[in-house]
Amino acid sequence: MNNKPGKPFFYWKDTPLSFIEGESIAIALTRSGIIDFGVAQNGQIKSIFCGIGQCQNCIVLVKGRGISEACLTLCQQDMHTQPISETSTCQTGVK
Amino acid sequence: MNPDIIVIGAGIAGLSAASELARNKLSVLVVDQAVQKGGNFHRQSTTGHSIPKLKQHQQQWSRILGRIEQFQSNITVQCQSRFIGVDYKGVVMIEQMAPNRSALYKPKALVIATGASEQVWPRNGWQSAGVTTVGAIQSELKMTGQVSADKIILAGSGPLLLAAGAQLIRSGTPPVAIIESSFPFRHVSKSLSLPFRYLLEGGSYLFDIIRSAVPFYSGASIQNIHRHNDNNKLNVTVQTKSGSIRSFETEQLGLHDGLKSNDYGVIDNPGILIRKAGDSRQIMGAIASEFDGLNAGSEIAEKLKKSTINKSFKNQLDKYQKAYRSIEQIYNSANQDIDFSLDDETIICRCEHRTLKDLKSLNKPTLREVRLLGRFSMGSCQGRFCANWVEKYLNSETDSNKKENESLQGNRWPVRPVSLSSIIETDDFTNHKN
Repeated sequence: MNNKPGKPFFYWKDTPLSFIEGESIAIALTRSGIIDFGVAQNGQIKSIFCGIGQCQNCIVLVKGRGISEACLTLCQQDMHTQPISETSTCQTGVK
Repeated sequence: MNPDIIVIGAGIAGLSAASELARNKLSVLVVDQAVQKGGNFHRQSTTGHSIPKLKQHQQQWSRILGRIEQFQSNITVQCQSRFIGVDYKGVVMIEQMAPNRSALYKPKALVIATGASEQVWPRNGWQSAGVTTVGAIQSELKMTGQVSADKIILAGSGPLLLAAGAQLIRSGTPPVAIIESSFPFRHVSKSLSLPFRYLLEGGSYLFDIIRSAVPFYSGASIQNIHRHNDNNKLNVTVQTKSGSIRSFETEQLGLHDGLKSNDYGVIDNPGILIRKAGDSRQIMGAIASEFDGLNAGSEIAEKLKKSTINKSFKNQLDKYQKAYRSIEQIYNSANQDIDFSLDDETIICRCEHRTLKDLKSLNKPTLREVRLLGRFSMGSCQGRFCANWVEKYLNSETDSNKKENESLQGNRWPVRPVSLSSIIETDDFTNHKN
């Protein structure tokens, strides 16, 4: 999307997205136009809600870390992230 | 290393308590789930970009940090770590995030300084992406100095709408509108009797909002929120105080209907001394929270070390707590009449996707039935965003089965979702001598 060479990037569903050093996954996704982080099994859209780690509405799957709150997790170079809905419920996140 | 005291939350109250405990030669471990200390009020920039801060806020933060530095040999602040629970023997579990593992401690006392949860009453369509709390907008502003959305509407009730509105203006993205359900400007004499620090703060926010000509609707409330999936825009329908309906288009909608103590995890029979401080004890605001933290530290030190209590903390606390009660009264009209006349399909519990219809179908339920059959307050936010509304709704039903003083809030551990890997990888410090 807005991935330019030289900028740090992480992956959302295998798509590289740029991020600013110190940005949370939630903010980096939103800045790239992604406000919808997937759908829970009951139909609830995963997205930023409380922004401070209390509501669990922004959880995503981070490779190597498992299910994480996107608002509390800072982006790192080459980090792989994806919606929780694209995995089975018992998977711990290492793909 | 088993600390004498564990403090949960590295915000105003937690750090203030820690410095006072450390001053009395108690070893303190402060944990916080965020990446840096500061809490919500003094959330620090993680990107190097930030919004301009009011001088009195900067001064408070320097004061708190100064005290921590003065007694730093007795204080460890551990960020990206969180409180999982305390059991009846007084064993406290702390989870370290990334890599996931946990530690068990047995401190002499536990201070809960986890601040507030925002209250957001259900509205038709509030489960859509793009609808956040006002706090989430402030969090993004403080961490990055900007917001991703070009168009933001703030709605609900409380002084936070003015604060966030002014901060958005200073970041270069003034809100499209501020929709306040009460009439804060009808309480002029009450407002003017507030302590000078509050007048200065409120005045500076108002000045920015008026100067930037941001439309401010008082006595207005949101009737409906609809997200267009093709362009990610939200259509927000608002009823103004005259009763007319207005429609707004926005990218992000920040909702806020007040604050509630975030005091999850305090069990009835803990094996150790537990003390809540700051907003997690009672909503009191930033100024009072500093004195409440210092006072909590002083009181615990008196119990454990027979040291003398510093009475000035309590006096200042009382003054600013009283001031905060006045601010609440200025906005109180909104809290008194919550609109229960929602559409039956309105989502009440976001986590479990339960509607008002689901709640009504329970037919005079006990709170246990509300939880176990209705699944309200049972989702992963543990009721932070529905329990209060559901309780108020049940109270409004005259023939409700709800008993006095009964609460939907559960207080068992874990106080938040915790991964199994964190429980498997546990370091046990409970037998370590200091």
